[in-house]
Amino acid sequence: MTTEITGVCPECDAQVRLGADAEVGEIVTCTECGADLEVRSISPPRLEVAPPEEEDWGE
Amino acid sequence: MSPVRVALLCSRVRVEEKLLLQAFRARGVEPERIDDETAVLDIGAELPAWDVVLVRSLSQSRALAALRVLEASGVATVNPARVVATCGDKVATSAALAAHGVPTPRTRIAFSPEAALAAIEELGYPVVIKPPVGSWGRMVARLNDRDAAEAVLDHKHHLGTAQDSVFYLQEHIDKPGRDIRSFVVGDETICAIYRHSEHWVTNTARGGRASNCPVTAEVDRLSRAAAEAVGGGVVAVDLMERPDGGLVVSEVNHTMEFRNSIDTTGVDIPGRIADLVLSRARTARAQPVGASS
Repeated sequence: MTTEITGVCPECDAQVRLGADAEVGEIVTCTECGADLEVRSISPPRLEVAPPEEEDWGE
Repeated sequence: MSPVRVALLCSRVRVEEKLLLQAFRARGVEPERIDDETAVLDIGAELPAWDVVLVRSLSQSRALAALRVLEASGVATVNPARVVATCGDKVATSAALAAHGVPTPRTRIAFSPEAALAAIEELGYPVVIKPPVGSWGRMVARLNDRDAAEAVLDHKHHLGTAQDSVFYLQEHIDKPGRDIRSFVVGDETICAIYRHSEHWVTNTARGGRASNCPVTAEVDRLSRAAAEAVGGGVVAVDLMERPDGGLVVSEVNHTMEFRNSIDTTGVDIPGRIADLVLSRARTARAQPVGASS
C-alpha cells in the first residue's frame, strides 16, 4: 500500500504532491506557483527551489 | 561473488535517470547515487568498491572533472572522460570525426572576428555559428548574410568570454525539415529517430518532433564510426541529410536524452544502457585496477 507523500513549496507554502515513485533529485513543479522544485529528501519530504539552468548544461 | 556495485553520478533525476534507475533495479542492481551538487571528491583517495560509475551530470564541466578523479582512482566509467572531453567540445568532436574519416559539414575555426568573417565569406552564406561548448541548441545562430555575420561576431567579441574568441563556423546544410539522431550503445546502433521541425534548429529540446528512423546500413555505419571516433560508450549521433541524400555527422552527445525515443522506436534504450554498464562492471572485475586495458 502506498501513502501519498506531500511536501511544502518553499516559494509559496503550498502543499505539493509527490508521486509514489518519487526519487531524490527529481524536479517537480508546484501546481500553485509554478516554481521548479527539487526533491531533496523523501522521508521526511523536503523540497528546495531547483537551481537554474547553467551555460554548460546539456547532453 | 558479491553483487555488482554501480554508482550513478547525476545532478537531477529527470525522466531519463528515473528510467535508468528502474532498468538497473529490474536487473537486480540498486545504483548508489552520487549527487554532483553535494559531492566532494578526494583526489587519489581510495573509492568505495564501485565496479562502474555511470555519469549523467547535466553539467559538462562537473562530469568531466568528476570522471578524471574517478578514473585516476581506477574505477571504470561510462562514458569515460575522453569521450566527454571530445563530445563536450565541438572543436574536439570535429577534429576526432575528421581524423577518423567521418563525413561532416565543412567546418572552420577562427580566433578573431576578422578571421571569422573571412572564413564565413569563404564558406558561403548561410553559415552556422556555434559556441564550442554548449548544447540544446543554445546560442547557435544561422548567418544568412554579411550584415548578420558582422553583428553576431561583434556581439561575441564585445559581450563574450574568452571561450567566445574561438569561432566555430559550419556550412549550413539545407536539410529536408528534419535531421537524424541515432543511439549507439557499445558497438551497436540500437535505433534512430528523425527530428522534425519547421525551424532550422531541430533539437527536441527546442520543440523538434520525433518519429522513427529506420537504421539503414549507412546510418549504422556512420553512427558507429562517429561513436568510435569519440571513444565509444553510450552516445547519440546527430546526422543531417544533404540535398543529394548523402549523410554527414554534425555532433555526438555523451549524456543523451532519450525519453521521446523509446516509444517512437520501440527500443528499450535505458535497458540497453543498463546492460552495457553492467557488462562494463563485469569486465572491470575481471581486469583489476592497474591492469592495462
